[in-house]
Amino acid sequence: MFVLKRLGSALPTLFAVSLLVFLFVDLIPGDPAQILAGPTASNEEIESIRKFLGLNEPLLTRYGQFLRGIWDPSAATSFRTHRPVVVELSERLPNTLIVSIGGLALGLVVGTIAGIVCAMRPGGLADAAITVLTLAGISMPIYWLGLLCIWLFAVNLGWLPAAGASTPAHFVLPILVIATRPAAMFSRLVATSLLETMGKDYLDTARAKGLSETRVVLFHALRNSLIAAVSVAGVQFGGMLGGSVVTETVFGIPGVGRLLVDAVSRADYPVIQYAILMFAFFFVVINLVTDLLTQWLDPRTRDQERAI
Amino acid sequence: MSIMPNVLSAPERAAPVDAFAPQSRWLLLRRILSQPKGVVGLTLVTLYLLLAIFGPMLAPQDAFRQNFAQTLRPPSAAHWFGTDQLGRDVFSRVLVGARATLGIGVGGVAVAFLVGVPLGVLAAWRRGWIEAAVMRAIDVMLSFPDIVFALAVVAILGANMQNVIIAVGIVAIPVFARTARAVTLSILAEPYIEGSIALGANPVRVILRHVLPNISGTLLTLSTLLFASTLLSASGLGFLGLGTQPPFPEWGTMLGESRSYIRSHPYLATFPGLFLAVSALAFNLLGDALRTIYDPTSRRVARRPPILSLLRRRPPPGEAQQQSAEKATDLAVSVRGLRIAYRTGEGLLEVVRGVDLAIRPGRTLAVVGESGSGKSTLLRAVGTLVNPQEVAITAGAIRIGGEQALGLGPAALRDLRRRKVGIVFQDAASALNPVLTIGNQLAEAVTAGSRLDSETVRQRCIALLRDVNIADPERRLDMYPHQFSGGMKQRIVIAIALAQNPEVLLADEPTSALDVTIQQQILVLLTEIQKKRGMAILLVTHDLNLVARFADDVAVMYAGRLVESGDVASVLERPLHPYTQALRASAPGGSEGRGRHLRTIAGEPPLIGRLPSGCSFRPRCQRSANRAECASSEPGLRAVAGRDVACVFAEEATR
Repeated sequence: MFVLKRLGSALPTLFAVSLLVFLFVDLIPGDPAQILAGPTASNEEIESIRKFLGLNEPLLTRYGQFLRGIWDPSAATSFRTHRPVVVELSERLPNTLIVSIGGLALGLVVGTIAGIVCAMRPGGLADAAITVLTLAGISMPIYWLGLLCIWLFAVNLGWLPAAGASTPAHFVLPILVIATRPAAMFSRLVATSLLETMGKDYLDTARAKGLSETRVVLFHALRNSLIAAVSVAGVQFGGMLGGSVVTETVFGIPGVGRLLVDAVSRADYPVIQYAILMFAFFFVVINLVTDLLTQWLDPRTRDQERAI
Repeated sequence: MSIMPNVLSAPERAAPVDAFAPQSRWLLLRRILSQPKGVVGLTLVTLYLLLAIFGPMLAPQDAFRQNFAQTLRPPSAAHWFGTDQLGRDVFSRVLVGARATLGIGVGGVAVAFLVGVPLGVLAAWRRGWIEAAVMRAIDVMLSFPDIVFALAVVAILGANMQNVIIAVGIVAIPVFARTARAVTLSILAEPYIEGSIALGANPVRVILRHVLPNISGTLLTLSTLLFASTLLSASGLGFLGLGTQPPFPEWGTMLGESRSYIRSHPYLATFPGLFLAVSALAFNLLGDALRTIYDPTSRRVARRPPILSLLRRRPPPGEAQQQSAEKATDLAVSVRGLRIAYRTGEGLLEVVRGVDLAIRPGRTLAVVGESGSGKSTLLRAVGTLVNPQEVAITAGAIRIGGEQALGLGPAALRDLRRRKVGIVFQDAASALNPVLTIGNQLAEAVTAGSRLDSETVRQRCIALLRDVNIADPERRLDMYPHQFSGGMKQRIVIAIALAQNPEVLLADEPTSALDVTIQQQILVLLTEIQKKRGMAILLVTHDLNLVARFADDVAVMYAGRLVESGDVASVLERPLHPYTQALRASAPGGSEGRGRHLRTIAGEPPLIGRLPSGCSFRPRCQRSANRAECASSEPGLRAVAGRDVACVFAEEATR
């Protein structure tokens, strides 16, 4: 029931998102064909660009054409390379996913451990150190940290390659750098929600059984805290995808983010549209999945669903 | 880079109105400066704002003048931060760039605030389709990763400073709108606002007078935190070459330009990045400090680990050694001269001030008192379950089943808890872990400290559930706590407490959350189990009827001390302490029968830490009547008429 309801709310969102992305070209002030063609273009040139973009067709036809481009390679081609947009995107997607998922996973693990350490000894030395590091992690511009890491590990020490995506070693630095933010967010989240859980009676019930403090925290408290954390992980993953725009530029990784930046600076509208649509689609689906996962992980809500 | 995550932890609820909100600007400033992060954050933010205002004037050299004779020079006396690829002075460019960089941040937050807050307040105020439309629009906008959305806006409008402000501003609108809506909704639900609306007050006036002042703290916090992330997003666009266009300096753009020279001239990236990172840090610090002020839930308790925490390892001083060893081992619980204090910001606050208790096996001792009298803290201390970071046991001794319970190491403490103590809480719902099955939680109690095969464990769990009269135990093991009724949950908690056959069962108001018929069942069950197993029960309650029916002995607690204790028959039949008398007079259905007026106890319960001189019950006591003896010193317990009582004039009641 909840699944259906949640799907029911995701579908209109997806529709609105696709409509917004589709209308993107129409939102550009002035005539996009004119802008693309440049100030010196002749009327014929502008007309041919209008035709290429399909701007002369009625709106509904164009929207249908736009949706068809999602699966039909011939329906949408890049303005600059004249290759199908779908192909351009799918070639680069794996690189983006490797960095995003790798960074998120590393960030989650490090952040959760740091959060537990903070919550076990609030006010201790480790807590203070982690709190400072967390603030630094949130405040650090990823692109600057990336540059510093390239300088230290690639240029000075020569341990890792500076740019590209040809070997697994190329992904180490980007993943390390991109993991700082989710790690910082998660250590805060886990620490706060653990401290909140720490006052609960059921932990005293567990302690009275004679369980060790480690087991009480890891088995009883953390389990409850992590349910709340799952939904944040979803939002973080979306953030990582968005962050790929910057990371891929810093580390010269041929991914979707880099493609989008290039497309924006070259006004390659079809690529911009489909790249944004893809990011948004991922984001909506991830939020959907984490919502369902949170629901399922908590037996209380899981049963409500069954009961309805 | 992204805006959302940072704000996720921002308060979505309003603080309880005005309870914590600073009354004036000066007070706010004082509160910020009372926190280290507030001092650092506010100082840095002020410096940065000064830099943005005066930076361009302070620049020692022309930030735009190119000098191809001096490109890419390292830092020197002439060029503090070196020169860039066009021979321009980096120090001057950083100073001049401060205005653009911070200006974009201020502009972006302003755009988001001015659009988002009215939208959110409007949605909360009008509800209906406006709210639905706003929420749906927010949903759609939040479906785009924020920097991607900002990129799209820049792609549509073109890359320049003004459009970057619009882009990062639009991206932050949903956050403001959502928070403003949530906070406004919770304030509109406040009784006094509902009242003035019902009286027909002008809605605009209500919003201006009541809502805005109350949400301002939350919005101030949010703006500060958002400023940091907006700054990073905007500079990210600059880094990508889509922000401020050359030759105008902006820290993100400067970083982007330095990328090509990172191999040969790393210092080019150093200074703009440093200024950027520290500015984001400054606003995050200030935002954190503000959040601590405006969102009380974010305040962390238990922050002091003073030397006193060592006390839990060492036997506390003043241990009552005079108690003879054999006598102590006969008792299930023996507490001597126990003093317990809470650690607070102002130091230790004593809540239990020298308590002696003794329970023999098979007997039930009830500790009775008002809320705040320290009875629950006492119970937790006996169960060795006080959190040493919050609570300090400053003096006294606790023995459980003849074993010293204070000053043990973690392993020994666990062992003691497991073998000797079972605990039952007031609220069974919160005493069971909501995400684990009953079988899981029972099995944990059964297997603690031993290795058993799973079938034995299962049989033991089933037997335990049978002991507490739960029908069909095999099927129940796989169920979760929320699938049981309140009474059933309490039975399960009791089953867990009994798993290791404890010598003492601690029960903290075990029935006050249940309805009357279930209360009876639970208490009868406890008494039966006690008879069968011969364990001692320490019952904490405020219900004298319950004490009269189920306890053998009673100890009346007031302001952290026992004022009267003895066997139930003598204490409740003929209470000698004026507080016990008052308690009995205020209990419904007492032994005197019906048709009697219930009396309340005059005066307020005492405030811990602000007790009156002499007897702490003096201000509420009719017997004291300004007698000098009552004010001079706190009376100790002494034996009068078959019980211990702490009143100088106890004999007056026997007459």
